[in-house]
Amino acid sequence: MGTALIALLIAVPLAVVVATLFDSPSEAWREVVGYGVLGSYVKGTMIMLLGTGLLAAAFGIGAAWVVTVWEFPGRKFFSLALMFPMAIPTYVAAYAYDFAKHELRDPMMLWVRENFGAGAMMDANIVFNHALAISVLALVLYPYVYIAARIGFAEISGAYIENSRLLGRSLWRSLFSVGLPLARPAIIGGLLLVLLEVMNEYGAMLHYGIETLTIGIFNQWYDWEDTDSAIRLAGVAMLVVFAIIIAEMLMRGRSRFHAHHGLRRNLAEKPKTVLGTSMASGFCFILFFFAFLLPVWKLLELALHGVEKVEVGELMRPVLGSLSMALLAGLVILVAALFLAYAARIFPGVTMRLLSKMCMLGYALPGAVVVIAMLSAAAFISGAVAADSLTTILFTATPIGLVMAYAVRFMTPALAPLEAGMTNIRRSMDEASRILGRSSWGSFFRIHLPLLSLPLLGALIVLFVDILKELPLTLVLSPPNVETLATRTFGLMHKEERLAEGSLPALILVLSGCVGVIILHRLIRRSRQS
Amino acid sequence: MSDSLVIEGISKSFPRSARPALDGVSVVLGDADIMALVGESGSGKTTLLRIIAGLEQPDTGTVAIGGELVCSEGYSVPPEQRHIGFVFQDYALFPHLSVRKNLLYGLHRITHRDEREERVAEIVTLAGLDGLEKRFPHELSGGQQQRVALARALAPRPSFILLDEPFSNLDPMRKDTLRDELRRIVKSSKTSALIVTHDTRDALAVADTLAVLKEGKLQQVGSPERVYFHSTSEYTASLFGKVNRIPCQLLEGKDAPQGAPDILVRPADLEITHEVTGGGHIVGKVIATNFRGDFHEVTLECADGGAGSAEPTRVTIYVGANRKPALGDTVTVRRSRRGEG
Repeated sequence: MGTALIALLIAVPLAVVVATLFDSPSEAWREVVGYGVLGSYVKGTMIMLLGTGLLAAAFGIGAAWVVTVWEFPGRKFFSLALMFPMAIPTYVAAYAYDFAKHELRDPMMLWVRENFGAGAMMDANIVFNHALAISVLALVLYPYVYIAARIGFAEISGAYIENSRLLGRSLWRSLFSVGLPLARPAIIGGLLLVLLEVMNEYGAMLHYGIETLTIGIFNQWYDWEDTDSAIRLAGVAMLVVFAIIIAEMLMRGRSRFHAHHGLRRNLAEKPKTVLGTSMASGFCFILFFFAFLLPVWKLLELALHGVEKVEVGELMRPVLGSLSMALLAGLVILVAALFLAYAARIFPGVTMRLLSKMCMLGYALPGAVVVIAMLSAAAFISGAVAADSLTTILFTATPIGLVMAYAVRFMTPALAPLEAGMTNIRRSMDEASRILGRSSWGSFFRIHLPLLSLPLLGALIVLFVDILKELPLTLVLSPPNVETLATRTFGLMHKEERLAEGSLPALILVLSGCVGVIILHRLIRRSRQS
Repeated sequence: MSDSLVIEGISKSFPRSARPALDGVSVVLGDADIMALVGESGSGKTTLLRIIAGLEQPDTGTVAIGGELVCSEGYSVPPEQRHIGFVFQDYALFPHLSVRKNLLYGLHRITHRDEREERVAEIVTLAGLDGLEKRFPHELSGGQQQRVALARALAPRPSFILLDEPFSNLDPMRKDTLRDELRRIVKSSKTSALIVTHDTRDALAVADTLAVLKEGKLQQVGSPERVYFHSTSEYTASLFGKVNRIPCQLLEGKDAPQGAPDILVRPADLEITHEVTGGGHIVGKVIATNFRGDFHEVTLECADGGAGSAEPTRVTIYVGANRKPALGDTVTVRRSRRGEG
């Protein structure tokens, strides 16, 4: 019952979006389609998906390969450090790489104009912006692929690679013939996350002036006040997301056999030559430099410039706003996820599985789609019951609407580890507790809750960092009196171009992200040891 | 005094399964009795255990615990109110609780703290867990874990305890000792027990009564000696060890039964003899001998006694290490004294 309610929270807004898709098109939508606006949104989205996907896959698989295969000085450091870039929010990375515009683009464009004329420069400018956006996004998103590929190489196919070597194949040939095929499903799973992040991206796309569906949704909604087209664009974005998910499922195919993880194996060998050693460390260092050191250094530089303009009291407001929203929403989501996971355990069945999958769907949806869906659903319900105040209560007077939106979007990072944790608790535990005279809720508090402490902590950290970083939902749905680090960073750096002042909240975001990554890394190591 | 457990006519089918998991099973577990429920995997023994515990519902049939009906059509007492003990195959010790807390877990109905502690102390002594109270399950050996699981089940003084394959996770080297230990603990707690096992050697050693289950149907109930030496079916006989099926026409001598088709006889019931007078005996040629430690397992091929049977009959006997016949020898075999009766 409660599960159905939570699922409903996600289903109703989506239903509104889907229902609008089937309405007869409005005049404005005809224009959006007719003037090629829709086409350019779709084209921009596709270019970004393809480019970022390919580049992130290359970085991620490459880094995982090097760290798995070679024993070189700094390997241990890099195997953790190469995850750090995911602590940098994409839009923050975009602002940090702002210098590339002046130091790289402007001279290049001048050269193009002198040699090929102004028209060519316009084209070259667009190409450059796309290329820069793709590179920056790939640099901070590749860790999803990297982590998946590392698990794929060392845990899933580790034993098979060892076997293949015993059968007389070299490590490299074994990795190609056994490691890559076996790790493929995991790698594709990591890639899926990258693509979903690209679909979700708002701040960075805006910064580089790239027209994607997410940008389009906000454009139509705010700039043109064309609600109908915005909802329809959200529908198109949903279709793209579903296409990506289906493609992922098809590519995984029947190769679900990887699901049980083996022991982690250390496959690394010392490279035979000094050249090999320096290439391995060189690759890792260059990737780490561009993905983490350089942007963080640029932010620090900016922050040092702007530090005298910042008042501590002024900074405390977004810090407190972020902290309270992340904690509030994190706890609400965690409780809901715990409830869902335990309900699925005591009432196993197709319905419950379907409902919990439904609750996970929100994670795949771009924030812009969730925003539009929730706002139009609230408006729809308000209209139906003639209570104008619903929208006000949810989104203006209180942060209830924002928490709900976070719940829609971030149920998966909470639910997935809890469900996995639940399956690790053997059924006989529940039964033993029942036979020893405890009710099912009594068993939950005495057995399941304490045994889930590690996944709970892990989920809380992921939620905390995710909510801290989240931009589009927070930007639109937060009540006027709530400001977070994300909205402050965006407001200063994008809207007012006050990069120096904005870099301080940005740095706090990066720092908390890093702490999150380190704690998670420890947690995973600990859970592996026990 | 009423019996600990009476189950009558229990049947249970699972969806997508051709035959019922249990088919009209009735068993009575006497007071302070240890009964072993024996069967191959898939025979329905674990399902029966789970039905008794209330973890599954039967399609038909009733379960009564201590004279009180706990399960009949449309009526079922939940597991936490049945007041029974259960030792799981994987022991199901709560990993986040120490041994002492695991033992305390089922004692929440005792309101006085002192009484609870007293009971824990009692059960710790009974199960030989002294000094282990503060340990966590993963810090215990397999045998110690089993004793904790047993002690935890016994602590609330249940009407009886159920044990699901309690010996399957034990080190084979120490299994015999641990098995005897388990019997001692259960016996001295004066609780009756129903043990499910697929290992007939464990069943023979630990139980007062055996119940044999095959494909959901009860085959035979009786004392271990009775079931072993007087099996009512070839299935039961072969379940408990090697058994020879000898066509009666092969038997020679004046007492050889006439007219009956086959007799079943265990290798241990046959011995090499030199007198060919008296009871029925068989003559065969030694075709294989295998050293089994305490004895040799000798396989004989017997001459085709009658016309018509295509395959020659093979008979297995056990002989002492120093009396091994040579390959190709022809020997005469008759039933030993013990086997008669």
